[in-house]
Amino acid sequence: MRAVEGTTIMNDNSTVEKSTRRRGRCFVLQVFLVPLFSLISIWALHAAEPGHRTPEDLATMPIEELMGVEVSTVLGASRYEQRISDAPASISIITSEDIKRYGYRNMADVLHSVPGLYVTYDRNYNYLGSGGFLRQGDYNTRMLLLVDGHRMNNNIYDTATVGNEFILDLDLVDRIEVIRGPGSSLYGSNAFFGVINVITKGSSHISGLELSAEAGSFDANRQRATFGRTFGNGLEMLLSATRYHSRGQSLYYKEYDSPQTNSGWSDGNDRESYSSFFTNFRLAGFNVQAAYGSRTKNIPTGAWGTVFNDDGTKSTDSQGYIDVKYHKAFEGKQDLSVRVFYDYYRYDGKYLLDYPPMTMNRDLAVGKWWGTEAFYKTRIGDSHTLVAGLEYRDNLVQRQKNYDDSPYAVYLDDNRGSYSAGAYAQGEFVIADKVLLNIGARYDHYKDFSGRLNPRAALIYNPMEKTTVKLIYGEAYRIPNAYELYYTDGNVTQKANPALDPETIRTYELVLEKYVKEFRLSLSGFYYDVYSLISQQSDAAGLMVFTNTGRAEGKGVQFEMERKWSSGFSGRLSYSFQEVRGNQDGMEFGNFPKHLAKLNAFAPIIRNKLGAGIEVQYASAQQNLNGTRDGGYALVNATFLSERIFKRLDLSFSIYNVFDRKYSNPGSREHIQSDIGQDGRTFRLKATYRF
Amino acid sequence: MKTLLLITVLLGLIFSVQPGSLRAQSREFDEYEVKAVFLANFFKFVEWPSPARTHSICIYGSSPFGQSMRIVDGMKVRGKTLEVKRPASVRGLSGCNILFISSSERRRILPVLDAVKGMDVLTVGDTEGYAEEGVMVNFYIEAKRVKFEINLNSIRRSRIDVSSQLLKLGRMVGGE
Repeated sequence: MRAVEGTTIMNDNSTVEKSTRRRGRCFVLQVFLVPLFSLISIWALHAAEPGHRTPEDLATMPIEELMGVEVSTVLGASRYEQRISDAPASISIITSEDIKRYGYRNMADVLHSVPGLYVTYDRNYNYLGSGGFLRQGDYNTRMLLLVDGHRMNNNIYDTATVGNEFILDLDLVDRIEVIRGPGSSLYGSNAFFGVINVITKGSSHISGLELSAEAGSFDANRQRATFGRTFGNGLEMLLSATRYHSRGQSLYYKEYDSPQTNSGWSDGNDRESYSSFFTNFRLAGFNVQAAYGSRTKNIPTGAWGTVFNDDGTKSTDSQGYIDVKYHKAFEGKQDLSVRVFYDYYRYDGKYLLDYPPMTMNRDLAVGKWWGTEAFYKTRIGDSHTLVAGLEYRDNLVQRQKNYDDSPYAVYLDDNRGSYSAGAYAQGEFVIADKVLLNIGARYDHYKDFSGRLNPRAALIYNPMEKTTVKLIYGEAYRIPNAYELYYTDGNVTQKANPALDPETIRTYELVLEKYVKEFRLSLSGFYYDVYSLISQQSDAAGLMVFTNTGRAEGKGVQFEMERKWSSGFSGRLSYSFQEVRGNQDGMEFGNFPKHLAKLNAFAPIIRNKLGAGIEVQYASAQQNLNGTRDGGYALVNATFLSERIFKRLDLSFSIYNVFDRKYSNPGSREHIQSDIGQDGRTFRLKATYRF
Repeated sequence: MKTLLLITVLLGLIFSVQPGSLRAQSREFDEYEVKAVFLANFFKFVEWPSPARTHSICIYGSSPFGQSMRIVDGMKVRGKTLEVKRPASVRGLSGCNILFISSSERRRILPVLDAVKGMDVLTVGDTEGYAEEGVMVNFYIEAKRVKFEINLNSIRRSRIDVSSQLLKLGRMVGGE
């Protein structure tokens, strides 16, 4: 009877919600789209070109003018692709142009579009899966995230932040390189399934003042101010600040559908805000970079048994760093770079619990660390290359605290410190005219764990021009982090396990890359085997605990095709199949879609004035912790983009989940919900002006 | 769901057809058309010690230019006709004023540079790392525009004279 009542309430509510939303949508359309298109049409008329520019015009152009001509790049010839074909890995690159064309708002949007990767969201954090591997309770510990080579994974949770808590505004990103496969032979811990390297823009991309503002669904608004300048003495400077706020939406969870818990509606608890700062100075081989970001997100899902529909439960993540790097290229053949950095991370979680009485439980983590790195590259003979490096990291503070506000009661106050040192070498040898051997290894020493050597070898063969075959073997490992080892909330939901061992992985990959005129094709297959996997489990008493759960193996294939037309059209299509299995009884692996398909296409509508980027993403069903499957999803996102209106203004309008599909991502152990519902159709309007 | 998959398949099919009608109405310049014109322009800013009857551009290795070199082949720059050559081996490089070394030669770049040492050839490339290896002018793409880096040490070691006007436009690499 009760259930029936519940459904009626739900239906009523959703009808109300729908009608208000529809009204909101019309409003958005009228307010934003009408001026947008009228502006573009006025501008398109105004900027009536002095006829078509032909190659003959080009030939007579003076060199200064030539430097300003925009070009359509050719696949397989630009500098990134050269590096891709020689690299001992399968690499995907997302450029600043892709970010604009497809309306990416954060790293999660970017990574969603990368072949073989998938991102889930529980309305608190984003979780990244690669090769079908994504364990509930894991805060992206198995991907290494770098900003201009600076390691971003913090020293408490090892988190690679891919949501709005990522330290950098995407507008400051020149490109993002996703390097698949274990990277521990160069980078040490965390580079388990891959490395994501974010490369920032320099002052040559942004010169002068640039202001950007955007407005989106649920009162989301974002502002950015950036100033870049290159001085006469060669000093390059970039300063930027961003702030964002979103009211979020009212969310319905059927698991909480009872009169005591607002009939399952969580109202006003999806709020999110962040601010971030970035600065970079470059002069004569020196590069000084400082960044800081802080994000607060309300948790609307009632996770960890918190009081449902209360806006007190939220998490704040703050992170900052200073990085000083010196680079020197010696006469023709040698390169040396040295880096020193200091990092700060703070997590502040507020969880309203009803013991009773209602008590605010606080979860605090503070991490501080510094480190130094040296990197040396040299040529051996005419064609062989050797790189070698040293790294030292000192975790000054690794603090975790869990306590109740009032009455004050401390459940955990854990202070740690640790250090690690690593040394690596990698050589690239031309062993025959068309065969390249890339071989390397890294040894790491840890304060609390035994050292380990991680090798990697790749055979790169060019049977013909613009065709590359790569056979890659690599090992990687990850030491358990402070959270997995020592965290407990007083054995209420989670207990510690200081006896954890590191986990290791072995990966085999076969990659075929081919460039045919404006086509790029890539076909790859992988197999991996994980040993003593660190995984969150529920013990006999129902407490969450991290344990080494034995072996797991995964395999998959991936196909990718990219094409660019000289008319300005471009497109990318990918399909991947992946499967993960536990080698032990009782170890179920879910949380991965067997099939992933992605399509990105960009079309110019009015030449060089207005373009449209369409994105289609398909994922097959994922199994949640209850052993049931969600329905998978197929989403369409669209962005209309008009750049350099009167040379100074960029406008874009994006629609995410165009067909308003209902879909969900698997929940984790802290959720009552087996699946967490995701966003329906949302909008964003963005304007950027250069002074 | 089915409609979406259909859309995916249809959009996928777009890959296999050439949008011919659309091609005519909007045209960005091809990267290599622009690079070809850059090469021709270099003759305005560079002086070679021993003047020849023609300006010659040589493409070494597998050419990324396709048909783009046609724009400049036969063109007159400072009273001389420009001619484009495709030498098959390093021995045929002596008559070149500008030598464009393709990225296909990136694993053999040092022997190629050794071979042209003393020949007074302006070496040009468009491969990451070439300038650091000693190639005099190296193109790169930044914000959709063709830019170039200059290795001044390599130029100084030759008898080629590059005007300061050109040096100002490039980015210096490999020391002062």
